[in-house]
Amino acid sequence: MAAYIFRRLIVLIPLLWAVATITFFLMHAVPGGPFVGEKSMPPVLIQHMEAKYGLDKNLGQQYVTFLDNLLHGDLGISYATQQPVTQVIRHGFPATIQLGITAFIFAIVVGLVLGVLSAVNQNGVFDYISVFIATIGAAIPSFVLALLLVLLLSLHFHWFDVIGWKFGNYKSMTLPVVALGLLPAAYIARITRASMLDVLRQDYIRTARAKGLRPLQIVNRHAMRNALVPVLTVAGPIFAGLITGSFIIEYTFAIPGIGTAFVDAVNLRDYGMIMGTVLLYAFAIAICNMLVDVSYGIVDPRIRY
Amino acid sequence: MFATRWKALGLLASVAAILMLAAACSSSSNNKTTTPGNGASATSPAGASATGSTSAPQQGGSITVQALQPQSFDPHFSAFAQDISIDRMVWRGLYRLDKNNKPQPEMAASQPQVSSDSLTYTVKLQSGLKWSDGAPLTAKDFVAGIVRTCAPDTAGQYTSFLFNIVGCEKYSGDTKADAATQQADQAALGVSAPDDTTIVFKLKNPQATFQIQLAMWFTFPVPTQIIKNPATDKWPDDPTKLAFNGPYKIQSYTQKDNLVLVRNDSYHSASSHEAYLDKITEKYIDDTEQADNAFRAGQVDVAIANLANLKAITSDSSTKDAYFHPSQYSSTLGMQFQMKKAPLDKFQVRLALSQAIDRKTLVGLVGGGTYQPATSWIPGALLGIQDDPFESQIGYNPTEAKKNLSDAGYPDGKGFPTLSLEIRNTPANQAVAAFVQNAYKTVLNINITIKAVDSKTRSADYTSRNFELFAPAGWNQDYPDPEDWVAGQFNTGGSQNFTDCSDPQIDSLMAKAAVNLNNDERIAQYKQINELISTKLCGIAPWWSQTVYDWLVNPKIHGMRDNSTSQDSILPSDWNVENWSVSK
Repeated sequence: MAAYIFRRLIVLIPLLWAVATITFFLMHAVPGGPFVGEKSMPPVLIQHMEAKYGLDKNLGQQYVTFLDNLLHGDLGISYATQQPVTQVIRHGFPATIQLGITAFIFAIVVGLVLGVLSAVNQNGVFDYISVFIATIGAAIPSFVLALLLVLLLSLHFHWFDVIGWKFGNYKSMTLPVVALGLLPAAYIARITRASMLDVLRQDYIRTARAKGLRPLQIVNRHAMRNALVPVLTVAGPIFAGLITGSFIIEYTFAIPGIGTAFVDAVNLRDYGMIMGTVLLYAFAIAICNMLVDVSYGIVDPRIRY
Repeated sequence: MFATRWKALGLLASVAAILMLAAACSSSSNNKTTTPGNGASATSPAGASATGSTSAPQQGGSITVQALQPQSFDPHFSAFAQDISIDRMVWRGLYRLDKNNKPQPEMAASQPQVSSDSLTYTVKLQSGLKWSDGAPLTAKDFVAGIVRTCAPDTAGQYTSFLFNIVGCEKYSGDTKADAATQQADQAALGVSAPDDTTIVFKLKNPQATFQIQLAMWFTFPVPTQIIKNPATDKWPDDPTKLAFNGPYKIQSYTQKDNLVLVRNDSYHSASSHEAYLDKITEKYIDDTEQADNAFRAGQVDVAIANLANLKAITSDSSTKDAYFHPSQYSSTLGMQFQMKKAPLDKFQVRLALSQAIDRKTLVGLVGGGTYQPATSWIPGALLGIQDDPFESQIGYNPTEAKKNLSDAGYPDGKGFPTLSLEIRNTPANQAVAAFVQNAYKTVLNINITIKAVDSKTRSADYTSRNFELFAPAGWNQDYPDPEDWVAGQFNTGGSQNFTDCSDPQIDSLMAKAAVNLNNDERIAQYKQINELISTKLCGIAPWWSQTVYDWLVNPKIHGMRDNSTSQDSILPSDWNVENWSVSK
């Protein structure tokens, strides 16, 4: 297992290099630069700025300089804020990761509970309720759901805050977490239901029942672990998606995360920030996928690396 | 039995959930919302009277306002409106603009002494000025401010505004020069401090607006006790490590979340007063709809009004009394033409395109109907004229539009090429483009295609002259003078003349007005320039004037609405934040 993890970490290096290279040339290919704006400036000022940041050199030279800096852990500075990119990311990443992890836990718990309830109560009341909730979660876009929740639960009932994020404070966390986590929860619920139904029909489950085991024991000890394998398969990409796709929720609830910084960086052509956030996301997704692969071995003892 | 156990578990879970919600409901009804800076004395927007008290402003209190995330706290680099808004709350220059946009002494003790050739300005500082950290604020700090703005390392977007100071333009271009050259160019800058309370500026040409420039953020002083070398030292990323000379100082800052300002007891203005409020908290909210919701919930006391929802705002009991539409316009938008692209080089074609647009109907589509139809490029208030003085010449007139297009060689639109209208891709701009496309087809029987792109692509096309029609486009003023509206944009070969407007009369008048120190004469010259630009449609067909924003202002806050000017950035009267107060 340790050797497998080590191999996966080594593979990260060429992966991040490829992502960095593709991103570098793509972002320079997009029209517009960091110093042209809605309010026009004298071209001489733009020339001064480009010279200051080395953007007047040819693309090849800029790429070599970028790679050299990257190898020294320097992602450059944000042209908009004049701050080091690493500093901007360091400020914004905690909120994004808190939101992502909380939404992920919400999605897993709600999804598993709904999925198991549906499966053990197939075609019953709880099955239909679960499917209904899952369909709502899948059908309504997160930003629409966010505003609906705000209108109802914040403005009408005054139960939660409209904006803001304070980790540990349920009033500020609830709506963003629900708005972000409900879609993946719906997805997990459907997969869990299907997987659990399949497992519950297996001979060894029938044997367990025949032995007189209690239903809760059968589900928790025998059925769940096998039903979890498909869920784990999607959990990794879901977690990565929650981290990288949270910018709409961050924007709606004014959460000081890295998601909005990424979107702003693209709109502003802030090359340093674009590279920094893309590499961060690539790293996060790669780690999540690795953790999913490792967890297969934990859940299913037959899988060995 | 198996299913029954799970049903029981499900029921238990539901009951638990209901109990938790009930607990949340009862605990939340006992507590106020607690996001940062909840204005203790200004948090009941619903149904309050808009008129407020007429007695003297009261000292004390705090408010929370919606703002946009600042990009930089360095006023010598700042370009975004939200940066400039904060800059003016915590720092001040030698002069400030009063409610009538006239420069008044701020850190200066009096008006400047101007030499007979109008090329030397001598400003005396008040004595005994201090920074918020107690260090003396002296003339060398103001010299450092000019040095920093002109320094090649700073590369600020407003550097060119100081190019009339001797040596600034050359020094700012020294990006690749060696250290010795940069030192020499810095020493040759036309700004000096012969003593602690005197600053001398040397200009290349007479400039009637130079005193206004000395009120702008890019001339603010540098705390040299912290920034030892203003030309090269990095501005601290943590703004709490800086020193301030404005009405407020920064107490704390959480990136992308909030900024807390507290009154600066060291602030000493020659023409203003100590700030009234104890504390101002800026909460960064990009989503305007959510900002308005936060206002309704009492989480912020001031929010930018979402004009797409104006009907709801003006009818909702929690917002209708709070709605504030400023009276002074700071932007003019319209359609820009690339005048070197046929057939836009023909005046009658441009006239036809202008006369085909019903501006009164158009402004109903955008800005919630708060925009003002305009046929004047420069806002009328700056010239002492109406905002729509050329309606009869270039305003909506379908009959004349058809005739002009016919006279230009395109009767009933026959043979007229399909032009491209480039817009920034937003829902509002899409609506404008569809309106224009339909108007041109209906009135002139010509076709235009719409090219919707993002902001940066659009800007790149504009500066490279890779466009035909560009809308809505125009100008948002940097300072309240007609000079700002035309300099570099409409003179032949001007550094920002991307429409290629070229008119010898305009060129001649601009050259004269730029160095004319007789205010009545120069205003008359700018009136003529404005008339020529507008009626000849030289690069632009103005459509509407607009304010920077409309707002929701808690009625318990005073001093915001009545001090609002065309220089408002992100908040009403953020130029003179010391006038804000709350009733207790």
